[in-house]
Amino acid sequence: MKQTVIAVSGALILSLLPAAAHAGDLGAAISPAARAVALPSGGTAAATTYATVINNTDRALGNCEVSLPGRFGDLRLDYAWTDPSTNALVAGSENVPFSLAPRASQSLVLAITADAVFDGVVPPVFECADSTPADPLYGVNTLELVVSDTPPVDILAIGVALPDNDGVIRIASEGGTQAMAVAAINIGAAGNVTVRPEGVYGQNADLPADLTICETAPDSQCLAAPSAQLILPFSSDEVRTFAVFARAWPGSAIPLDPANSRVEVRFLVNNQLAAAASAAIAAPGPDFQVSSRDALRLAQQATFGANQTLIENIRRTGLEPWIDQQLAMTDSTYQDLATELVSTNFCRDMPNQCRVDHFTAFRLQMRFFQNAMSNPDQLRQRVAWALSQILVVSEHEVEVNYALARYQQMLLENAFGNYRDILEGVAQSPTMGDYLDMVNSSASAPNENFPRELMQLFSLGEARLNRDGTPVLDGTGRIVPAYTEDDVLELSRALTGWVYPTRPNELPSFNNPRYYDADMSVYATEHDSDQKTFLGVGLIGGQSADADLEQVIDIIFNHSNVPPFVSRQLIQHLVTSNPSPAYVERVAAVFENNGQGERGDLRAVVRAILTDTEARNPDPDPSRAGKLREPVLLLTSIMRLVGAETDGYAFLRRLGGMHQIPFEAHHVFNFYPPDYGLPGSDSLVSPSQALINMSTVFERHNVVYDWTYNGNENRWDWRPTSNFEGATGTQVDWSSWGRLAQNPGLLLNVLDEYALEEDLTPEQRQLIMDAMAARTYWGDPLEESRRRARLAIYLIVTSPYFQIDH
Amino acid sequence: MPINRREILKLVAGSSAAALIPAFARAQTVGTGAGYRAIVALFMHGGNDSNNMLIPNDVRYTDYASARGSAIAVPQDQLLPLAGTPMGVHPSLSPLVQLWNEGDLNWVQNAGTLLQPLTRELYQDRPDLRPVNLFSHDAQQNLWQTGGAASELLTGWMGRVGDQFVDAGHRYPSVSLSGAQRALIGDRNSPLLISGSNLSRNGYDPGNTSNSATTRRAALDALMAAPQVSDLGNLTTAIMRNDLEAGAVLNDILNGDASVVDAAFVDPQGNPVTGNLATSLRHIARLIEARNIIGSTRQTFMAETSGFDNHRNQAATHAELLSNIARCVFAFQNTMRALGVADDVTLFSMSDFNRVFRGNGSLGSDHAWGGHHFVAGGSLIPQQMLGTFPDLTLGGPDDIRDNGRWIPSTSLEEYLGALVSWLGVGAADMPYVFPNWSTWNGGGRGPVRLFA
Repeated sequence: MKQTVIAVSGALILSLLPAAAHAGDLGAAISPAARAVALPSGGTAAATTYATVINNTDRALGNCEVSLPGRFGDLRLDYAWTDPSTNALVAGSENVPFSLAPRASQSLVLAITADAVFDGVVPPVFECADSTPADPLYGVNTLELVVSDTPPVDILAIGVALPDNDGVIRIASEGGTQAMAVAAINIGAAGNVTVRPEGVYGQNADLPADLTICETAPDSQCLAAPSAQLILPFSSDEVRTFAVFARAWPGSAIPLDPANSRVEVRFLVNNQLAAAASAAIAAPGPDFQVSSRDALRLAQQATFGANQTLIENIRRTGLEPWIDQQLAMTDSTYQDLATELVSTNFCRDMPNQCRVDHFTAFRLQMRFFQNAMSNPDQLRQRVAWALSQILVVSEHEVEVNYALARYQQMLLENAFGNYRDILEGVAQSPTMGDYLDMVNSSASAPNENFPRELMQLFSLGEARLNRDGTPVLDGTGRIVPAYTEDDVLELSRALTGWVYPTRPNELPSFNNPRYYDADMSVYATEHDSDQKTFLGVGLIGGQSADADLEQVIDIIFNHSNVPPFVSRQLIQHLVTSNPSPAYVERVAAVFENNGQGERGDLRAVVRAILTDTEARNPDPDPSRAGKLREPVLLLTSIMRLVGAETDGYAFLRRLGGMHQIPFEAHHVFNFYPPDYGLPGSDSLVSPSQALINMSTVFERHNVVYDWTYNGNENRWDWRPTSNFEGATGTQVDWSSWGRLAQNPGLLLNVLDEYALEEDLTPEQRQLIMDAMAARTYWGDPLEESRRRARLAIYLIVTSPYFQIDH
Repeated sequence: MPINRREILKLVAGSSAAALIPAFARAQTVGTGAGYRAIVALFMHGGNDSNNMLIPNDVRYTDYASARGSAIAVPQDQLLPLAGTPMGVHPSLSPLVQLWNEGDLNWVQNAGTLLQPLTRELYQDRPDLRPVNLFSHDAQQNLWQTGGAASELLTGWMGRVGDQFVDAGHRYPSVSLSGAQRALIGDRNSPLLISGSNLSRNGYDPGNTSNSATTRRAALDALMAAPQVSDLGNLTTAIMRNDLEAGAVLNDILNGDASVVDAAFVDPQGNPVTGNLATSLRHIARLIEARNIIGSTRQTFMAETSGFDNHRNQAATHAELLSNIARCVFAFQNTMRALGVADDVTLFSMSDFNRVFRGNGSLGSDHAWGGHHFVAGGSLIPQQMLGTFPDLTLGGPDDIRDNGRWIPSTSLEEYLGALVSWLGVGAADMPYVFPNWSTWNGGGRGPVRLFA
């Protein structure tokens, strides 16, 4: 054993200790944190490493020892004291308990002996007579040990060197660069070694810094330009030196948080970790303009779910500039799906996959969730999702994928467009025409289905409204209808004579085949061209179907009900279920006039909704605040929070049990009505409460339990489907959460900041931490931490605090 | 009574289990009327081709075969004759034939949605007398569930039956095993809505007293019980908490171990019947078995099964669907007998509509109107073939045009009204349940004679 070459100063080891490790009575750090040794035939193998133990208390501690947890029966640990300045063994100190003066430290050498092959993480226990043991922290005081019966490449990372020699890569300025030197020796057999710097950053987000590495000459100069990783032949007993460069991303701060913001240099042999050295990293960033609570609140209103990256982005950018950035984004599209034209008998004699691809909403739905999970244009998607729940079409009547995609593309493109364009697009859409029977509606038998819903659901509502969205009352206190049955009839007559889009070189007729690739065509002979009176306005006789449609859309669009009716529902979808009349009126005023004289400008309306004081107030009026997260947003927000990678299929597998699969509403009244009364209240509505029944309450819990607490790799609803080309299924990498969960308090701080609008009470924190402590796992301590993290996340996201937006 | 279209709000859930716990705790029979009665709706979603359930087995068979076409017509030598009638049934329905022979199954012929009695001439001359949106799944399902032929009804007839029973002190009169169903929306009653059989929380077993399980439950319960910042938050949380608590009770009823129901839920050969519909009916049977625990005395149940919209390649698919239906109905009736409540429970079929008599060009059939229905139970007058079978002439007096969309001869009020009356809704309350009741009661019209 060549102990001399792994000399590391005790002071440097101590600097590895993250601030978090100073929480208990004892802190401990070891270096190196990974060893690979050979097991001679019939003999034993020993791996040594250095350790430093620090007394965090103001009292003297005695009878301090280092041991292995009982489950490592096949390994033996011996320790001896060392001189911290020279690393020299203190003679006669082998396995002699030591004492620690207040705030003092002791440096040690540890030797772990094995008589069988082993591959795992070993967490030594550092404990004194009157103290709690040091918290095991993966990578700080645990040893990744490989004992194999073939001679391994045994790399030792023999230390890092930094200007301040305090174990922290301190980047001086925003966007700046700092280097760190690392030396390593191979005390095993020769072999190829991959050397790679990797960032460790909080939970699921990437460290906001670019990391590169080069091998260095004795004069510390790079031998070649730095790159992301090196692959080197490493001879036995060879010592090599490296420089790692960390360049912080402009605009991003890296807070000093040694347990969670680190650069780790990994030495891999055959893709297995053979050695590692690490240092904390910190960089200054611009000052955040926004509190994380305000950022979270906006994220809940404007996106499919918050996470660290999004919250930091909003905080860095500022609320209104972030909204304006969002209003300019156009990443998501269904256009490619919308143009996959197929005839209605396209799949005749074809495998079932053809039907799945073309005659269900499946691929559109997959895209919806992929976009929601990953694309930056979150607000556009949220508004389009809201519009799709106001102006409903559904796979339940129109099963053609490209038809549904074309319709949703129209909503996506117009999410920040003008509401009149949407009304006209909806009226002329063959998808809606098919869904609500306007297509082939004839002069002799006008169909009332679409005309009725155009007024009732898409524009006016049933009752005449004040500008603040409250109903107009007549002299006797009764609601005044917004339109009469005669208006429905007259509108139906005006909207006759439309057929499926006519094929090239054909004439329009009721026999037009069912295609959805363009707006509906006019079939003049079946248009009722007699004069009509609609909502008190005359339509002159002899007008074409086009002219009648234009005129009735104008009449509807200019009706005084439209601004409050549409504004209120958009507020309900984005911000709160029970907006005050004053809030509705402020937004309706912007709907009426965006400031440049334009009516119906949704960009201005959405901006007004999100910048309104009622949306931004972090302490809204308790008598009307609150919005129950609907199933789609509940699941996307959880998966975005934990950093899932998904092709969307998991959502489709589980949302059926909660009755909200996008684009599959059972009827034109959407999954839930906008004024579903909250049981137990005589004044509050709660639209998504309509999806709550006994079974769905259990399902809400169980999906969340399955995806967090039980969120193991390859679980049944995360597996890829064979029905989707390029299916990848769903994965969550819990390891960063696991690192965080080594310090339960810190994990709860992070969850509180990125998931909850309020602070957990001390009692609630304690209950969660008690549950975490009780979740023990007899194996890899990092796996135990991952399980604890999943438990804590489960408790947080099942809580009403998370499920009900303020 | 005028029903506001916005009452659609009540459509979906209304699961306010707030009152549920005391009821379980009381475990006693309340309300008027002795004993227990229930009706069970079996809704065949998508439009069942009942033309192929009930088939003339006499000279009319030739008309049947030629109009339907060889792709979907059932060969005459495969028909199962119904004793005492000129009719036969689809070969997949042999369990129903057994019930017929035992006097526990009746047929109602050519029933459908109607505003008033119609002839072919009236249909063609008076579009205003047609129910709205004939041949549309959504619209016709709604009419069957709301119990009228007008579009504006938004409460359901079962929900209005429930209103009457709630007023009389009965508990939990409306139950759906298929989640939210428009039929159950009432004004005053809170339906029990169950949409999946699992009413237990994963990882939440109060019997597990390990440290990790108890600390986890303690944290979960504390967070569920925490005061919320808004009234909406507090009310919503209370509903969820109540559903979780009540669900744990119902879960024992639905999924507990020992029950007569499991052994009795078998087909005529004694084989267990499984599948989604079987599960729903088995759960209904268990709820009936536990009627005294729940405290229910008058109930309507809804179970839905789907897959009937067969526009193409219908024959094999439909045969399987019918086989499942028949085995499920037999197993359910068998279970009611085993529970000793066969005389107190009646099961009946509903569907969007019948299908067009003439097969379409894709070896399937399209949406039509009047259709045939079965009713099963121990209280029936034995072996009744009720209503009038249509004249099968294409373009004939019962056809709206020329391909066999039958104008119903029995209205859904006459069909469903018979069940509602038997259940115990008084004559004076029938117009509340069926707003168009006066059209169908008197002047030679009235509930079909299912029961003695």
